[in-house]
Amino acid sequence: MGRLQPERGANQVKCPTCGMEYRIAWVKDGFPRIRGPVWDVTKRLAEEAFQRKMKEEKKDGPK
Amino acid sequence: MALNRKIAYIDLSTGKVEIRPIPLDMRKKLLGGRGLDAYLLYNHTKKGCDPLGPDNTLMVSGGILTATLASATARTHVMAKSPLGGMLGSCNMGGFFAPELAWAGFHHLVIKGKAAKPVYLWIHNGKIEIRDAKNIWGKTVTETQWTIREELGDEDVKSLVIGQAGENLVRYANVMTGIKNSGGRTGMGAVMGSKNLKAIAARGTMDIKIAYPKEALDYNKRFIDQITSAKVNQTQGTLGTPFIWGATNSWGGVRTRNFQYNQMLYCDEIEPESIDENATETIGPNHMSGCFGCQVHCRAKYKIPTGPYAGKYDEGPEYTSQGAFSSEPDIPSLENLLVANHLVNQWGVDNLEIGSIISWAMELYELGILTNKETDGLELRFGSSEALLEMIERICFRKGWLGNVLAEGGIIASEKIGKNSFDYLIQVKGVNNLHSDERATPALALNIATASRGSDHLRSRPAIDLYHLPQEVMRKIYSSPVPYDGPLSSEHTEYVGKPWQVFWHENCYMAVDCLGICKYHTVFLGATLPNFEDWSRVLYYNTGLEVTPREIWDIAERCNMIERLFNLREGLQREDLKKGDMLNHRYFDEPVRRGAPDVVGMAIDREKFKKMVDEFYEYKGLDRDGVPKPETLERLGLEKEPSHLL
Repeated sequence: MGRLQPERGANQVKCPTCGMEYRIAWVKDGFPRIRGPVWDVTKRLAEEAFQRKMKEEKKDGPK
Repeated sequence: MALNRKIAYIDLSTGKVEIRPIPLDMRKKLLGGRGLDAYLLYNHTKKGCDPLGPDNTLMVSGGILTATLASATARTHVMAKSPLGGMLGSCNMGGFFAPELAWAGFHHLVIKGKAAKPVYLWIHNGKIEIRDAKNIWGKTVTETQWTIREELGDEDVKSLVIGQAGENLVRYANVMTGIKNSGGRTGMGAVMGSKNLKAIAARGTMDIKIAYPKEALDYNKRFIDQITSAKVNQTQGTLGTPFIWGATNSWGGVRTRNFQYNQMLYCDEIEPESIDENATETIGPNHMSGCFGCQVHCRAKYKIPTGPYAGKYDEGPEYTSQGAFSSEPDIPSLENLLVANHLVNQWGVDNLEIGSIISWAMELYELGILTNKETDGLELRFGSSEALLEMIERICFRKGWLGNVLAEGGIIASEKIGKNSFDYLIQVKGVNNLHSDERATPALALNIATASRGSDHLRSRPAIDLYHLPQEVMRKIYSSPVPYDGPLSSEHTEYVGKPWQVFWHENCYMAVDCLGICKYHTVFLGATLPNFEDWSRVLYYNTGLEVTPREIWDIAERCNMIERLFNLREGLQREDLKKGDMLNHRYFDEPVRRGAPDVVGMAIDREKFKKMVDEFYEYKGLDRDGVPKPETLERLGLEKEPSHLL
């Protein structure tokens, strides 16, 4: 996880590393904050990540 | 001057009041506020005393800087043995009470015994009266305050009160002031109720002489610039604490369905922008208010827009209410959040504790451990606003079997409910966890496990650990006022370097609690906010007391150790699930399933957690069992405690 800088006025931003998408609210001009995730995207990515990691743990044993 | 404010010993059983000065050497050793209260608690309570009995001693205080020219020094602290976990009880709230108490001549109150009938204290310009409370007993938090003002004929009277929850000895009842300034977490409102003490009212016009007024004002201007230029405070001043929700719920740091999930899905309605859009007279730059002497103005106002409570005015909801009434019971309704927040403010009960305990009961109901027999037919399911609001009322008024049992707090309730209900209770030292899920954040997990008042974010949480700060920024913060050249990691899922961060924040937060400063004015949520160096100067200019930054650190360490000594005397053992520095097994055994992909699948590693606790103990000068070493007590000047000097 790292820091993201959305384009000025944008209402969404996507993490180039993990694919997470966030809804953006603007406290004032030039001052963004994360309002919340894009629900369907976060739900899908989490389910995929969970299945993948549990499969890896089963294969390798608990870390 | 600030240092001539007095300490009053009030015995409610006999009606005797004794007023004494606070010796300068005790100020140099403990400053004031929470630190001095901890000393008083350790000295004035006996091991094993009944927290709801007359032998428990209740301390009320302001910080050493309260009502001076220093910004945001309005915090009121209350301390006693907790009826919730049987360990240290402590709460801290903003508002206007502590400055009024200081203008009335007092920094500390020590309240013993039990009144024969309901009473309240009236403190004005050096005098203390014990008055009949028959006109206010049974009233809500705000009704009580206005009735006292009418009775005393002065609209400027500030009161510290309990609502019906405190009167009914709900073990997590709050002490309240104003509309929503809440002294929550460890049941200090129940301790007041057990003493038949409904309120403490204060009004004062006694000047506080400032040691170096010009320098104090000049430095405070700098302080204000620092406070108001921080983005975190600009956001708080627009949205209040709910601004935190968006980020933490996005990456998966929020408890949902008790502890089954770490993110609440599809909950746009409870986001702060939505509150602003849908409620009336709400948050937004023109609808925020603040505590005495504060420039942040994080207190949102609102009117409930719909439903049976439409039009009711209140303040908040805080981030903690979003967790307690929305994510934990998984209810995405705005009206539910605003109504629940209103009810707990009016009846005076801890939002975090009541939301957590109801969510725990919801999980037990869905597992079949609780049935319709225990709930008197109430469908106690996740997602049900009707069930949540009904249970808040039942608990505050101890209605029905389950309301009465849950009013006793999680540990006692789990013993009465039986089966394996305790396994699902997410608590530390008897205090339910706030709504954050720490399975992906080892530093935050260490914080709640070792916090002196039980699971809590305001004792030692390195919240800035979530900011991915550059190494040089972290090094600058964590290497002062004592040198540290060990590892530091900007990655919040890491274990390395975290024990030092928790130790540093433990001392930072104790320092501000002794000074009386709000945590939003220090390195809690903002990395650039004032710190030990600033406090040393502010203290000198306002009070004339010369204390170096390093000495403030030492004082904080000493006061934290006194709290540790109190908890050890009450039975703290390192790995005891009910009284120790330990987490529920679910932290270690159940990986998180939601949130950012790098967080998904994480749980706390048991061995690494143990090593973190070992390292944290080393920094504090404790042995492997969590007991202070003799040389530590000597270094901190605590080898002869309790010393009964105050």
